[in-house]
Amino acid sequence: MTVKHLQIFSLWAATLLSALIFILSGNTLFGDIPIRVIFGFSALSITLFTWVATIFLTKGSKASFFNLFRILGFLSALFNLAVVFYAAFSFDGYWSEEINGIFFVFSGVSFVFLLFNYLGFGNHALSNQKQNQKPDVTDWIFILVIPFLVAAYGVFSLFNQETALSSVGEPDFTIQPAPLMDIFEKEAADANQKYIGKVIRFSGSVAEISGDSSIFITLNTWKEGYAVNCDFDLELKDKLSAVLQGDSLLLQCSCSGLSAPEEGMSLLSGASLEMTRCALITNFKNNPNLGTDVEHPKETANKKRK
Amino acid sequence: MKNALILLLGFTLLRGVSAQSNESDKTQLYTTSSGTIKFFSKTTAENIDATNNQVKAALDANTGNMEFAVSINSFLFKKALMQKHFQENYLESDKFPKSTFKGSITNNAAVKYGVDGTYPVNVKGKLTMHGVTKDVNIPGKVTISGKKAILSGDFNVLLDDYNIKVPANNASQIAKSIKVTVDCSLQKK
Repeated sequence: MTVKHLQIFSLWAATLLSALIFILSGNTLFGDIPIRVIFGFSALSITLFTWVATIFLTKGSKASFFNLFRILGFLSALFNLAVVFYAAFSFDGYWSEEINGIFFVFSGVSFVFLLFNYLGFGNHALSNQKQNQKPDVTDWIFILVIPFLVAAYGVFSLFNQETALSSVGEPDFTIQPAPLMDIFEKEAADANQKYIGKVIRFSGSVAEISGDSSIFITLNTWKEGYAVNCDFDLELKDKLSAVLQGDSLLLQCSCSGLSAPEEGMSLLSGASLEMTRCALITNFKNNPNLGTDVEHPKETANKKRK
Repeated sequence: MKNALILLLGFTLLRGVSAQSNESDKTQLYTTSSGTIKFFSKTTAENIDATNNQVKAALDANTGNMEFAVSINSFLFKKALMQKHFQENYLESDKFPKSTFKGSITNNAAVKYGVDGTYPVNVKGKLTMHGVTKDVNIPGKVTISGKKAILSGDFNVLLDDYNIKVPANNASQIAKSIKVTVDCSLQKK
């Protein structure tokens, strides 16, 4: 086996593995249509065909065949990536992120290495003389060990990505609690789809601070029987220690939806907007001029009632 | 005569206090919006736990009736993917955003709400989750501490009972029976 063979075989092995994982993952992208079978077997067929063909046809060491297989490999890897992206943005039904994450990682790795190989980058690939030599330790490391480590790291990270304690970064939406509640009440299904799990930036004044296993701040909404419940991780205790009842806060939280008592429930009363993984952006204390990036004319006007 | 007047006054006062106490009993409601419910799934492949600190709960001390409402999307997991799977795929929170419990303490007379202490209770009621309602019987404790009533207990939920399907891919990671732990500190209104 030469370096050239090793490169091509390892790249195809990665592609083959990703195709196999995809087939075995049991994903259904379009409900009843077993699209995974179509995509998976297509990818597998192309891979297998090219791989087997490589073994037989490269015996003559014709450079043109290598170029052909590189192009095919490149297209196959592109195809794999296209499937993943298509699936990620248009799936309907169960979608296993872990399994497809593995698929994605392997496809990505195979893509990058096929690209390098095709363009003649990396290690000694630019040297045809070297390519026809037997692989040495550095070739094995470059071609097999590094991609394996990259793939292993990618999979590990994907599985173990921790939930953020607070909603930092740019918010998905900037909207005040009162209009958000109205949206949830009027168009529950659409609102659930649009806002739940999304990071919302909003402001309000503190009505109550409580909680044992987390810090729980209730904000006034100025709507009778409505509140905003904001849950903060205990690790933010120091940052929140200065927050007092009546303070005006600019917060950013993950929205969990509107919780209202259901029919037949007589003890629970009042509706609340549930916010988790909250982050305190600014504490304006008693300053009625809240942050300028949040529209809150009603709240500011009503705040003086308190 | 003087004694009779004192007795009458005393009786009147007692009746007044008693009436006030009865009035107070009628509205002896304990509530919280920041109760905690945890669940724990144990398998050989992986242990999964999640916490929800936004549990709404109410207990009528007079009748022992209680209600819980839990927003499914408020369950927090350590791992982001697990949380996503739990909310979107298993509990289908877009269709069933809330889980509720409505029931009562069957031995409510044994709980002395005016006296600090821990009282073992048995709670019977209907648990609604993932759009399915089932009768449940939960042993637990009510701890009275001043104006607080702390409800605690744990029970197991069979995923099949609530039509919660775990795809074959993840079946080895999630137990068929999930342990649910309740710990809610309710404040007297």
